[in-house]
Amino acid sequence: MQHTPRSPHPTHSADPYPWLLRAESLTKTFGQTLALSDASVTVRPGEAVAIMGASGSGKSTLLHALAGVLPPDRGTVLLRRPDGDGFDDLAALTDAERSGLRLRRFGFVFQQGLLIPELTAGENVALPLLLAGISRHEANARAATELHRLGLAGLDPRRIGQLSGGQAQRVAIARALAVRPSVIFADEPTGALDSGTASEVLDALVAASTGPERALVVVTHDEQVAARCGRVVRLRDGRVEEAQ
Amino acid sequence: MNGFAIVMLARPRGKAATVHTLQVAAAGATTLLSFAVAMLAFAFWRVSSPEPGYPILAIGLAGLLLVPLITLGTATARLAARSRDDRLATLRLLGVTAARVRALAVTEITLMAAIGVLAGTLLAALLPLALGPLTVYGEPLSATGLRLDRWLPWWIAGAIPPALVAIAALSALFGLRRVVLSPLGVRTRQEAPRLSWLRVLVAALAVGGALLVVQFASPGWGVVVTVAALTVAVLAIQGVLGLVGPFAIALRAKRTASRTADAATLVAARGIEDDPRTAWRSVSALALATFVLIPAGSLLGYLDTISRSQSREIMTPDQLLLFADARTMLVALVAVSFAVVACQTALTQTATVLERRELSIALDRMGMPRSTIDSTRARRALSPTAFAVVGAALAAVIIAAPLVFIAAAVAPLFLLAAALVLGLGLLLVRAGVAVTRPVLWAVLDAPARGE
Repeated sequence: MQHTPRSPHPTHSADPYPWLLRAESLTKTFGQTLALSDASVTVRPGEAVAIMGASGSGKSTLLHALAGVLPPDRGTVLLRRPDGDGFDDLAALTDAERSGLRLRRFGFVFQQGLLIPELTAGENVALPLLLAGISRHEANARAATELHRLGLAGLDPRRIGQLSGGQAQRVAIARALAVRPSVIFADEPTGALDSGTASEVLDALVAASTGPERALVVVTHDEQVAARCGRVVRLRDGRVEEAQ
Repeated sequence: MNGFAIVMLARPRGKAATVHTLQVAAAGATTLLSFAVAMLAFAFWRVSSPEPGYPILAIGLAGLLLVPLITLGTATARLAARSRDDRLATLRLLGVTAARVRALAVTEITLMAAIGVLAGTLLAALLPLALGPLTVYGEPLSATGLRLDRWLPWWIAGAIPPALVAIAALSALFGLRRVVLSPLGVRTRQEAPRLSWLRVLVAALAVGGALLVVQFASPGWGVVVTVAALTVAVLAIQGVLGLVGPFAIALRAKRTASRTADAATLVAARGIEDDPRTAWRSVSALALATFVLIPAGSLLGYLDTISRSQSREIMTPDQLLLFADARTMLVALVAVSFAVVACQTALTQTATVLERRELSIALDRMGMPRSTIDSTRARRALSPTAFAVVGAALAAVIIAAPLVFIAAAVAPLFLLAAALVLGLGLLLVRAGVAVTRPVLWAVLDAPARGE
């Protein structure tokens, strides 16, 4: 799964790879539709990047390519290793290897939360930890810590249906953070919430998802959400039009 | 709204076409099994023997298999509604009433069932070849001839297909009552499980009654009264299984969920705990078949031993033939029950995969291995199945302990054969889950296709 560094534009500075995730010249087609065309994006540690664009502009495809959900037809997606010693090329990995990488290095927050309704809040957060082979006891403890950090202390035993929309989305954020990922991908994370709750959830997401060795990538239609991110990448017809 | 527009929207394409294939195949299999059961039951019925057990065998076989065949129809209805949810919801959004959308869905399900029933009926013409080697009343069934009309009177053969189509339509109506057709989407109506210890009390009383019947049954009652008393006991046990089954599997699932460190087991167990009635309903036919198999198999093994010994003179030749035929009936009952449950499992699993597609895609994106996603749903289906079979077998052993222990001593091969049949049946249900794996893969691969 690990690949020897070749030419990810290394520098001679102290940190040879001053990025967490770097996509270069991504192209992806679905049948006759060109979803991504020569798209390049760099995500640095500690930053929050918003991906914006009209419907069908390729936002979700770019997110999926960056997250290793979709292998691009052309181009590379490089993820820096946690110790800074080289990188992995997601496009060169097998499906199973990409799944393993997503489980350990990435977190996901979806518009509808997409939590497992029959599990409790605590179990939903503990699930990725159990998948990573952590014991039930430790997974429960870490899940409780994450929920506490997001203002949901004591709600561990509640089923998802017993939570408000904002609380459920915070559980989804806690689930994304549980494995201590390098990059958190959020797809319209506040799209299903009222403006007040959306603002609170966004605060929690940005605060929890950015740090020295962590970054946030948000796909959004909402300019207010984008304004909370440090950088905005705008897409049009699958091309990166503007990266502020 | 223009009727033509409704038909345009309701027309199957893509995913719905796959589901239609499954519906037609399930209806075809149901028809084939129904014809096979009817042919065997009629073969028992027309035996001209002074032994009154034959009509009871015929009625018992037909009666015990009616419930699983109906539940198969309900599973088909649910699958049809879930596979078309986008279009059914669109119709509601465009102003079509829920009643009209429901009628449209029922019409479509009935039409698919009719196609499957027609295919099954055509294939049933080959059944005399398959069932020919079986013997009833000492004669091979092939002696009847190889034409279907020699096996079944025209009015029975003619009544089966429309009856099955009617069952499909009624099951669709009943099944769709649990599905909410709203303009915002289609979802299964969730009912909070209400299970209490009162069920256990009622069950204990019924088991006590059944035990009394079994303990006090004596040859002096005559064959008809004895069989009738045992039938009442079996029905009481079926009722008990229906009362206790959901409660027991919910309790077991809760214990498993609170202890496991395995993600697939956790999700599966919580899923069962969340809706134990549905989980139990899908396997209750197996519980009954298993419950009948153990004591009946033991009794037949015991009688077989007697028939091979010097004591055979206590039985008339007609009784000896009846016991051999009861064995055939028993194997047919268990085989058909497992086949129906395997078909039902395949349909239910397909509906579940389609219902939870967004969640499955999300778990796949999170990095949950596909094998784990698959294992989760397999455990959710197979855990209640194994529990129903093993639980019913244990209950049967306890209730008919003297008979089972005697059979274990004098005819152990019969009990081994019963265990083998149950093991093969469980594998068949597992196959019912496995055949739906491509549906899950197709759902998980949808984002890669840009869907």
